[in-house]
Amino acid sequence: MKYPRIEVRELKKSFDENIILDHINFKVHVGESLVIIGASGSGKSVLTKCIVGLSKPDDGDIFLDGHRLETNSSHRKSEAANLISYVFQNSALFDSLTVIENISFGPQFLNKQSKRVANEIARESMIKLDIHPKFWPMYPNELSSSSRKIVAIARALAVKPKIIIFDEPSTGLDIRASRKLDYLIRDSVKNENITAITITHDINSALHIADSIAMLHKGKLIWSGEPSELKKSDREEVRRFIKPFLTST
Amino acid sequence: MVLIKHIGRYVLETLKILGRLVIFVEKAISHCFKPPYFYQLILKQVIDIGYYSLPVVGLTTLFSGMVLALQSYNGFTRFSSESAVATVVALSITRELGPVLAGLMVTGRVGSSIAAELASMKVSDQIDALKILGTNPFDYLIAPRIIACIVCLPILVLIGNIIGVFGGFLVGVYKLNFNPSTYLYQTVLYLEPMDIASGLNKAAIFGLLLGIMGCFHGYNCTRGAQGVGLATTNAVVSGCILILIFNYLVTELFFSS
Repeated sequence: MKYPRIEVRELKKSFDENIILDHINFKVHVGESLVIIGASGSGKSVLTKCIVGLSKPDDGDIFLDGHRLETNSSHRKSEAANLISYVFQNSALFDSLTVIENISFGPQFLNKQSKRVANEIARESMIKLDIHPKFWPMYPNELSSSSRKIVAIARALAVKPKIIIFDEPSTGLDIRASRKLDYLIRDSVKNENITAITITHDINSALHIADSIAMLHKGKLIWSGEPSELKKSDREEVRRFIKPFLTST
Repeated sequence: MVLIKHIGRYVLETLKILGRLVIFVEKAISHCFKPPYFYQLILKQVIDIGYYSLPVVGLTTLFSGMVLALQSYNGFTRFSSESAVATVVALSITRELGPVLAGLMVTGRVGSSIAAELASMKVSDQIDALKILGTNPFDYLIAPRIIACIVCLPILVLIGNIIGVFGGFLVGVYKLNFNPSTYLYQTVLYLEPMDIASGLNKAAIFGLLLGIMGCFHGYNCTRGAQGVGLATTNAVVSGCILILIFNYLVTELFFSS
């Protein structure tokens, strides 16, 4: 039987009295690129942090390749760590390490490669993503935000994940850099046959990247479908959310 | 009723922080004793914490030794006991002033920087990124800093003791006109290994305290830039207070009889 790469069932999460995620259900298949859209505070980041094991859900199940993740304890150590990579909204590159050290960190410590092999993997990854060699010995604070995002993607891809999660990849970038990043994400995911979940509130990015789109609103998954169906949605919340983007393009 | 509610909330909040601290300490210490060890990071921290704190500790103990010699001479002349100056300087520096002053100065310099560094890593998601890349932050960030603090403080105190006693010697010989060899003889005459050992033991405990406080407040930082500032302040204040409290407790343990 072929399982979806990721399956989320009845996921619930709340902080004190605030319900952040309310009975979330969805599946993502191998090689599929799911984009989750929604306004700020709709629970997108919390959802991905639950999937990756950085936040513990109150209830519900997450399955990776049909195997249930132990959501009551941090599952970073076990199953998920070698499967899922995460690109943070603010890149989260290690300040004290150079670009090449940042990218070789995963292969060295997660994939347990020797330093020499990890550096080799990092070099390949940087060449693939067109990161100029002059950037390799630089520190993250010497890079522009779009370069930092690309390095963060290279770091995430260097561990050869089966699943990659992008948290607001185009935040803080101008339109040109944002589109370049969209193509980079789409190509990387397709070329490596990686399953991707991208969270964004930028509809144009979503339409570029997605095979399927889901919308979170106040902690509930209120709509899902193909990108072409998004504009035809009759859900009031969806139409209201996408309206500013459609009028601006 | 409102007052009781506020007190209750304050007590619960304090207990929550204490509980979190106990769990953190247990986790931090256990990770100091189990692999993986990041030797390069430990060495880097030893250099940052130990080597770069030398000037601060050296200057502090040098001038403290000098002031102590001057003050004790002024006091002892009233009882015609000037010869006790060298002994008092040596005992005060090795037993109390060396460890406490070094502990407080290193807390100000290192405790704050540990807290600020970890806090800014926390608010910029670098600690989460470590977890994603299969590395336990307690192995990679916390343990090297705590190990370096425990190792460096006794060494700094030992060097500080020598510099402090030398400060007293300078004032004794060049200002108070003591005979150099008599001063040195008086310095070692009543100084016992236990005096030095107790100071070094204190230093190791102070190192543990300042390392744990810096790491705890930095690692549990919230609320962005404001949180980084708060973590730094809390690390220094709690580190200094704990050093003074534990100084009494350890002194009681060593010298109560």
